[in-house]
Amino acid sequence: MTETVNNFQDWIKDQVHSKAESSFALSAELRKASLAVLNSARFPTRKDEEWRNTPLNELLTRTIGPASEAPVDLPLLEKLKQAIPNAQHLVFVNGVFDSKLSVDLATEIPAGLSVKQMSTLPSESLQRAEASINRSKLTDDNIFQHITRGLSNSGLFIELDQNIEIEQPLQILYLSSSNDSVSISHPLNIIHLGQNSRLKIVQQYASPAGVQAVTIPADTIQLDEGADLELYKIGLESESTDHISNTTVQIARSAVLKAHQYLLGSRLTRSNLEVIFDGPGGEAILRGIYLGDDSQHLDIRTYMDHANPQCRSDQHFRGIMNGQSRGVFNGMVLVRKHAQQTDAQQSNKNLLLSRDARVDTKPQLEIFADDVKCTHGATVGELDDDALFYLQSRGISQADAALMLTRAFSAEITEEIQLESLRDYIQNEITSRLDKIRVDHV
Amino acid sequence: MEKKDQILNPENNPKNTLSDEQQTIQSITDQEYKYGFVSEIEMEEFPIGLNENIVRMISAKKNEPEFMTEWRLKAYRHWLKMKEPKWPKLDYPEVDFDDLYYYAAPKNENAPKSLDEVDPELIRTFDKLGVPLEERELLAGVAVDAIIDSVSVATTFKDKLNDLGIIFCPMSEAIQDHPELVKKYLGTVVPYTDNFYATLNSAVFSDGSFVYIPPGVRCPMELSSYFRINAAKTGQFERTLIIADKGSYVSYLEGCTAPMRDENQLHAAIVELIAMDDAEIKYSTVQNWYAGNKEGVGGIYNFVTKRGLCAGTRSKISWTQVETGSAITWKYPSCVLKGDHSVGEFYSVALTNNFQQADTGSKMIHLGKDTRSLIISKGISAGKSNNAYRGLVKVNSKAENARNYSQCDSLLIGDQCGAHTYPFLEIENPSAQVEHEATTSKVSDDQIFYLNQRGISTEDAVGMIVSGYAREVFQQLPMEFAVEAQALMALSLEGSVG
Repeated sequence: MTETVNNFQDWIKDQVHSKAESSFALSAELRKASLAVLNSARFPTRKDEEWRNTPLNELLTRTIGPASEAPVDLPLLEKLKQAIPNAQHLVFVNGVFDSKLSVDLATEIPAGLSVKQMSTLPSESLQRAEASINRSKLTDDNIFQHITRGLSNSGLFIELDQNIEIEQPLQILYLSSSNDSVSISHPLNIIHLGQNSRLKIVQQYASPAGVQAVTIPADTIQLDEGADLELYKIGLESESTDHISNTTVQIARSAVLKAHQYLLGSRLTRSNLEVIFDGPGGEAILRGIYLGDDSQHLDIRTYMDHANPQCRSDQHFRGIMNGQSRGVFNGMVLVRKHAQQTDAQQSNKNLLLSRDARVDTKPQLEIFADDVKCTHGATVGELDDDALFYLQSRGISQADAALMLTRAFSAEITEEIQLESLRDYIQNEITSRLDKIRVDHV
Repeated sequence: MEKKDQILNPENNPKNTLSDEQQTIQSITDQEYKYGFVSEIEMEEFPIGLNENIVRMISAKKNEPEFMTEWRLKAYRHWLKMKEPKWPKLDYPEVDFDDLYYYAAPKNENAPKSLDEVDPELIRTFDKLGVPLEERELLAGVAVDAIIDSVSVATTFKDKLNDLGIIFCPMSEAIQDHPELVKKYLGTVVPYTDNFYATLNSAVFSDGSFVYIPPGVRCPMELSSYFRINAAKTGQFERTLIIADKGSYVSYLEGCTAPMRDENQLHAAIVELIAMDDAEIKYSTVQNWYAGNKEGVGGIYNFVTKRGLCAGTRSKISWTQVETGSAITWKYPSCVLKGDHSVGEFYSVALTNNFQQADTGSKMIHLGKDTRSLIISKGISAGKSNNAYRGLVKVNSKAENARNYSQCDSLLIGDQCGAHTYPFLEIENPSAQVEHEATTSKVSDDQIFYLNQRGISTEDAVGMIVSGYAREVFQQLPMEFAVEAQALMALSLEGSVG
């Protein structure tokens, strides 16, 4: 690692040209293309349609320091693990897999499931892993995914054999720590579920208050025929963290993806989720909440590519914005020419709790097939006066009534979380944030 | 479907490769443009291409005051620095702006004082279009400001309007007779720097309509202008400006048809509306320009900037459009709701067939308090066409209690076409209530079968279903326009069911 302290853009260039010995998650061949992109260092601006509402100036001018060596906040880690006590815990610290804090990959992983560090993969497995990456393609080919591909030095390759169903969830925890400078982490995971297999993965990103970090994860997920993946992403990072993630999921014939996202933390979050139906009969159910306060900026982008017939996608995202926070939803549903009998639903509802909060929403449809059922809807508004009055007339204070209604607004999404302990955990996290807002308002 | 056909029409040979439906499709897609004729009027044209001299020549030709010439030149110089936008979902070969005529006018220089003086060939042209001036005068009570290519030819009912203090005249005349009004309002809603096509229009606009309704006057008749593109290779650049002063009301109709041409023709118009306190403007368009043949050759490129400013409190602007023509449509009639309690409305039916492409929608910019807006958009795609709704609802941080409801429905006919929806909602005030809904559907076999059962032919059934689908918008049109619009829809659509 170089000692120099640079802004983000220079840091990237520095890394590309760094001669330092280092191990990388991906093979030199695959990294090459990404490094070429990084060399140009062209970051999206407001003029790029996909980034219109998410300015990156603050991120790009952040001064980046060397990789953090500060100790991990162990009590926080324990608290996070309690969200799903019965899970297999996998821990990343500052973007690097920490085998001491994680379960033993060699002995504790159930049969049929394989979790391996990318850097230790034998070449034959690496080829399999990279095949998934080669098959995936982001429509928003942003530079951040190339940062992860080109520079990532750590990640996991998670493979599940066909016909294996695993009840015990995998919980992947990403913690950042920092002293006095901003550290960057860029974990890269590849997840491959074999035919008719079933897995649950919970990804939690967290850091103690005050930690300055930039997290740039990228996940490539491949679901073979009939596979079923439940995927949860929970963002709880500090107010001085920027988080830009890229996830692509390929869904083969009759495979099912249920992906939940709960973005509650960080200064800036951009979560990019792209789903492509590789075969007919697939299903993708996306749920999410973005809850912002102060000057948070939370941006969810989804891209649903109905490339095959008889697939079903159902998206429902809700935003709750307080303070001067800003929420962005940008969802695209593309129904290609031969994707007949597509059923695509998309809904985005937003609640503005303060004068200075702001929401930009863009639910888009591009349809090239005629025998389809596609609807989308978006709303932005404040709490319903009548509902507030109803509760007040029953002796509930206005503040409590507002809290109650806001919780109910979020509960419509969180109730769909299948893992009971995780559901309680997220509902508690949301409630504690809303309580704080309530105190602020009183 | 075929079985049903056999039951209904036993004489149908089951081995016949063309089903009833397919035949209807063929007959419709084979249909040639009904209004495809060229009127042989001697035209006066400027040299091809665009430069400062052409801009000066246009201005001089129209005997414009200095301020207009300067304004045009400013726009032209700004235009040189601009690039043609590439963001719409439209695919067309680049327009060579140096290969266009920027001015064309019927050579008959002596302005006609009455209908009798109008070139008979012109009158016949209007007749073929179904806009007989005399008839309109007598029956419909519509004052027509007819425009062929660039110069207003006949203006009727002027006197009657004059008595009320209403000014309804060609833009070129308004520049001569009412320069103070033109200077005050021109470019205040669509500035000359607005966008590529608007800037081009500002530099070279040839004519258009000018309307001023004085305070408290309710315009007693529907004002109407028929635009027509006639000479080959002529860009058409109208500019319309409508000002409704305090407490006034006006309903304005615009209808467009153009004859068949093999080369694509450019149309870049601007419409500016200004509504003062308590004023209301209703602007209706039926656009049926040549859409190209069924191979996608030819057709009008329609790049239009339409914007209304609700400047006063309780003012209202309502756009209604029926778009069935043009090879390319790029058009977003917008409302800037600046006055408190002002209202903006947008009703649209956009129909595309064959290789037509439409990227259209509306923008509602809420600036004042208690402003309301409504967007009803019905897209119908058939053949190999692409139809996109692109809209923006923006609520400024100071716009308290803004309300918007948008509904964008798409109807697909056949599996070769595309329907797209790109709504943008940008909300900066918590008291706003904004809703957007969109659905996509098709004309189903069941619906058609149901109507077939009752003895209605497939062709009529499709017409009925589509009329029903677009009814909300047709209801907004003045009666005589609604009839014409329905007929146009039927003409472009019947039988194209898959």
